Amino acid sequence: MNEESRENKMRKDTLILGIIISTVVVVASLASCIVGYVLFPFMDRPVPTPSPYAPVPTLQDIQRAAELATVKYSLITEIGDENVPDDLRKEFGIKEEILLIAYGEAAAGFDLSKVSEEDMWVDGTRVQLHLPPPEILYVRLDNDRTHVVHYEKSWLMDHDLNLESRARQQAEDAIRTAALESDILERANEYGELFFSNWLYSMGFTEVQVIVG
Amino acid sequence: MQTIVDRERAPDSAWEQVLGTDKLLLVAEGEVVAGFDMAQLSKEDIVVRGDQVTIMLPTPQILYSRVDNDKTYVYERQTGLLQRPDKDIESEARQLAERAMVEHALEGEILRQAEVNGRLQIEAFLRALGFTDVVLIIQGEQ
Repeated sequence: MNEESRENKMRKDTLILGIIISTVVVVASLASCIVGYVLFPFMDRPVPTPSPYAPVPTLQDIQRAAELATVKYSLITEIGDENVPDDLRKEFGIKEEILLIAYGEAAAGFDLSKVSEEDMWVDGTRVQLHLPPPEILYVRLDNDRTHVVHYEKSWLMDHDLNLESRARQQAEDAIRTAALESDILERANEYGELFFSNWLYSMGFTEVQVIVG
Repeated sequence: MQTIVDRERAPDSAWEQVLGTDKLLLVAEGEVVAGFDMAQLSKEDIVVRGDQVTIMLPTPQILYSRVDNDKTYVYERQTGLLQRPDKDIESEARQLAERAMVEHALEGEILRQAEVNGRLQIEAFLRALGFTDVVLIIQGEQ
């Protein structure tokens, strides 16, 4: 009988202990919520801070853009890059990797600031224009469409601050190379000849010669 | 031009509020180029009478803007404890940087400057072709 009452008492103690632990857990959870939402109301959902500081103009702004872009080449390219540590961690597959889908374009045309009076010869209604060789005027990525489709960083890996910058540089290089391989300069050359010839004809010249290069 | 963009992801939970989310400071360099899109000119926009030429130019516009990826870099990145880095935050910062550059260029009257420079260049070009009287009219501004 004595044994039975001791067993009952132990069951009762265990039940009470269980209730106390449960209560502590519930109270702790509530407390954390209170800490999060009540005691720090000022931290509640701050608006993301897209705060570009006022851009600082450099010499580039002041340069005259005496360019006539004639031909554009657009490309979508996929660039993968990774940052692998140069130590034992690489044996365990630890790394940081990125996959970027880049949309961009290269433009080729003539830098008209290189055309001087000596490059033009006029005799009545005859005209000859000498243009410099066409060149890639710019390569740009469309930042509204270019995006990271995959990014993964292992737990023990440091973050490489410029992984995405490098991927974007590679994308620009790929676009430039693809544009050149697609004969963008030859097409700029042909289009430039046609464009300037038409322009000169429309100004009343009857004999027009445009020489490129 | 150069701009600095400070971007932070909004916290989703109380834990992120306490432990921090994901933020980034981008130093961006790029260019904004404005001018006349001469491809818009048609034959009807050019009138020649002897030594006089009149050209109806299109209104100057931003021809392109670009972030120079060789000179743009992330200065600082802070990711909260137990946080996964947000893969889109840098792309968003670059978008903001480009928009800021375009806005700043427009505020700095890049279009007016493009008009002045463009007029000078076109006039010099036409005079070199033998025209003594050059009239340049911007469409919509007669």
